[in-house]
Amino acid sequence: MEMLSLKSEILTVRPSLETGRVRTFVGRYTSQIALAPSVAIASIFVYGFMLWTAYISFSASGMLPDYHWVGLRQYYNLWSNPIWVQSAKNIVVFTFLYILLTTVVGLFLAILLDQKIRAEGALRLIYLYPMALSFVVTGTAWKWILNPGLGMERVLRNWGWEDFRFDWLVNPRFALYTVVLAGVWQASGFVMALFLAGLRGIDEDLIKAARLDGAGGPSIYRRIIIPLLGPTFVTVAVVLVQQALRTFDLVVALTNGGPANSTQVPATFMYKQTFERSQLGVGAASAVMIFMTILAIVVPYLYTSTRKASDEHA
Amino acid sequence: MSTHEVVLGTGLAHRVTRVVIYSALLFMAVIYVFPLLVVVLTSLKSLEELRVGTIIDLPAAPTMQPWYQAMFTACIGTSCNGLAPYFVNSVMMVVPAVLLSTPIGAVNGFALTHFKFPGHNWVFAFLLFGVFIPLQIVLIPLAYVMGSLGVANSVVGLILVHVIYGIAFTTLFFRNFFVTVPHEIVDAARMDGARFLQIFRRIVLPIAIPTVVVSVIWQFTHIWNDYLLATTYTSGLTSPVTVGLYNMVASTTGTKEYNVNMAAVFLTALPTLLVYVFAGRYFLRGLVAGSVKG
Amino acid sequence: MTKNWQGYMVRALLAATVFSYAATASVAEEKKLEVLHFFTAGSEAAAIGVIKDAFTAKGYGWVDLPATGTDTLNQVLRSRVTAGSPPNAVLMHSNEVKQWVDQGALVDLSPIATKGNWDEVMSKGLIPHLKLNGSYYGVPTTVERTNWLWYNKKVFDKLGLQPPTTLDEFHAVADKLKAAGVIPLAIGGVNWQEATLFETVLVAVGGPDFYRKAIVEQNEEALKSETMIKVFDEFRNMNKYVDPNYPGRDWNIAAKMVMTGEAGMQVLGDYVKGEMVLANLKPNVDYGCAPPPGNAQTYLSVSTAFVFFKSKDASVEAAQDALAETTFDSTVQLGFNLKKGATPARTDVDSAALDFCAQASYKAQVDAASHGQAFPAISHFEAWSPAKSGIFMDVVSTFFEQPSMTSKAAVDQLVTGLKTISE
Repeated sequence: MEMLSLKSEILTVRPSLETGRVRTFVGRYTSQIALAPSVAIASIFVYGFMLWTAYISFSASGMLPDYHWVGLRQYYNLWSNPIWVQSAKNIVVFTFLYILLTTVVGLFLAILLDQKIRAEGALRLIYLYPMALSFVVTGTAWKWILNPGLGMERVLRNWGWEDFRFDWLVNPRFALYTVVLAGVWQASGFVMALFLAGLRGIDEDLIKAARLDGAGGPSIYRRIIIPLLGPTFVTVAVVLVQQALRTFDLVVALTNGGPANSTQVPATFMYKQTFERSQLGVGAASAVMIFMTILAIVVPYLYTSTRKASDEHA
Repeated sequence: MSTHEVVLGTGLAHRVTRVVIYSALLFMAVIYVFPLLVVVLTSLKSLEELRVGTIIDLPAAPTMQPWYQAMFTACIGTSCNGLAPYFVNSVMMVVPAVLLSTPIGAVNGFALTHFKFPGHNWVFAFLLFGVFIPLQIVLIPLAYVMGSLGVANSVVGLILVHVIYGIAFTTLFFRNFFVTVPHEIVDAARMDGARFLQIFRRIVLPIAIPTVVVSVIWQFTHIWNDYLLATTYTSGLTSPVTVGLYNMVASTTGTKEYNVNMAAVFLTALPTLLVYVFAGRYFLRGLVAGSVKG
Repeated sequence: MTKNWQGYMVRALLAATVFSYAATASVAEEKKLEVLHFFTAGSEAAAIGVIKDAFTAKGYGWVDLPATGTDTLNQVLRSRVTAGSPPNAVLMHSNEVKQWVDQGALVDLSPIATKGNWDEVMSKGLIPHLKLNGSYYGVPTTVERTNWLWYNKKVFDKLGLQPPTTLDEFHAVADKLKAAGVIPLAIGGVNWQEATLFETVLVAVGGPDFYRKAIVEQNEEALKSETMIKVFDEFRNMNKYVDPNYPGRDWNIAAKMVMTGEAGMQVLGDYVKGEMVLANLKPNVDYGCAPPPGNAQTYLSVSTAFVFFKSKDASVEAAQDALAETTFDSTVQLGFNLKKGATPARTDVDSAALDFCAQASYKAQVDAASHGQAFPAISHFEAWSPAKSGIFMDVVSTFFEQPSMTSKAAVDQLVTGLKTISE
């Protein structure tokens, strides 16, 4: 205790640093000094590591890094691996359905909640709570509910639907949809919150004017409100797409990639190759593929939004 | 800031519409609550009851035994101490990681908006990039660095990693908030000769409390819920609770004890759930204030 | 007032944190070993407990790092090796030892091996995996036969069935079980379980010579031959006999299905018996063991060994030596394998103490070796490197779980997949 209080005094009393030339330097470059550690950290831990992984994807690395340059061989191996091709197909289907359904459900809930609803706070909380959960929790819970034999199947059979069969979790044709289902359940509340924020920002007068023109509810939404939510749609799409492309924990906990690799996604593939199969080079190549895809979507978005921001606040 | 109630009508039509809206909302609420309900119901039943009943039956003889087992006696590998030691790890990881990453983000956000310098937008973009990086890409080099820093396979190492990759998020939150704070407030203080840290502490931080709340909630849930970094950089009894949970569920000894597993699921989720129940309102308010709008 | 209170709280919190982190750091005590292993099922945990108890009785500490499977184990091991702090002792399949020796990562156990006369007493099949460049780098815990057929004796007796010795008999038995409402074959849709079934089918269809050629010698012609396609065709037939909910099932849950009579048979290694032992079931009363159809003369083996990673901390070395000695001790080998259901990795253990099935396994090993029909199993990384085994298991597992996949496509995938692995 003594030691600690002493230490904190030393930390607070340091006048000598800010005298003379040092003081003017610090005064002029305060912002840069404050940001420097974060910039340094990002340079190493984000950009440096990215470049390192990119380099490894062109190397002969197997179990451990090996800096022997082999050109595009790892990429060739990657794309001739049927499980990678399957993963790539899966992620396209998953991302499309995940974004579509999450947006539709989120928007639907937001519009309903925007109708002067009693107990709005409680309902909002109910829709939002899945977002608080770990994907491992979500995956394990849904695995139990979808368990063929013990889960919903038995419930419906008990209700008298004797030969009801709900085997999506173990059926290679449908297992991917269980991942979509759990993902939508988890993310739609968050999207609802974003849309609700967007809705609340819309000028009431526009709607009044439309109503005076004799427009009914649905058409006001279609013609006026939803178009005004444009920026929110973009935000939602960008948030969801980069989430979807990185999907990992949910798959691991729910299906672990099976059955028959029908739920294997690039992130699980990458992890498997790198950490279980001693194929570091292929793993790095797949990581680069994931990252390039995210870049292609995010960079245009960042470019336009930071430009807009600087225009606004210039 | 107003609700709209666009779907208007008169008299009977109005009432019918209201009934439809409320039914739809309630129906969706049931769907959202359902998984959590099943988890809780399952965790309160005995194995025998699980064998004969269905997942939505109410427990005939509710028992807290599975909860006790999940927390203190369930086996993970050859050690049978339940989730408790992993819980302790998670708490020791999440508290310092949140307390460190939030102020860094606040200072960054403030510097990027009120003490501008040429190229501040580039610096922002440079830092923001970290939000989008798939963490798989950094796993191997990060393992090297952690090893050479001597923090591999430890809670301290995880704290470090979560702070490093949390900065992008916290910076984003605070920068987007401070952009909305009028320059006059800061400029007036500058005239008085107050410098960066003083302005930050006395003037800016107090009005940024909602954003602090958003940042803390976001970081807390993300770090608590992380599985990828935890499973890569820790093993055995140094792991946080998500890894403990996964290992408990994935390793079976004899019979799968679904009731204990579900109790473990609920216990793992409880801290973040509580944060949402008690602070979720502020989180939403912060969202509306523009924290997450890019 | 409030300010003081806050200050006090902050300091108390700080003190508490500093204190608790210091407490975790001091775990690295002398004579303590971190042991990374994948023996987490009931019988496996009991078996490894035998080694742990004998080791701690000598005054050493055992820090348990359980992984939920070899995949998780490899992931933990790789990230810790990369970070430069590997666990002190790691359990792995014997064939995986070489890659770590090549990295120069393992402790040379030769002094212990010479003292314990390992050259003489170790099962001959294991030595090539563990003795590399003239030195021992791994200490085996067990030798297991992977090609076993386990069946529920009571169900078989009631229906008047005998364990099938040919594939035709297998189909007849399976059909009768099915007609009686019993799931004929218990399996979990996890790649190594499916691969274990596959390799017995491979032996049954192609014969031991084909196994040697295609698997042991990795002959490409054999791998893409008509025989290989026939093997996949026959493997496809097995789909008929499993229940629809098999994907993702743990092997010991499948074993439980045979114990309760929900299922009639299971094709998997010795360790299934460990679960039977744990449940206090008796061989030839509750359950029976027989070679799978067409596998009578062939012995497919898998073995696991402890290896010891070099450590910067010299005090660890004595504990590592002690664990190596303990693991290979005759009494420990016997105790371990009674619980595990397998056979000791040394030839001088009194087999009378083993149960019926383990004795049969012990004898089969010797007989098969004399016929030149003792082979490493491919399902447990014994025959091929982890990367190649991975390709093999991916193909076999995908084929089994994806009924629309043709045998031809499977063979093509296997052959092209193996070509992408450069070693």
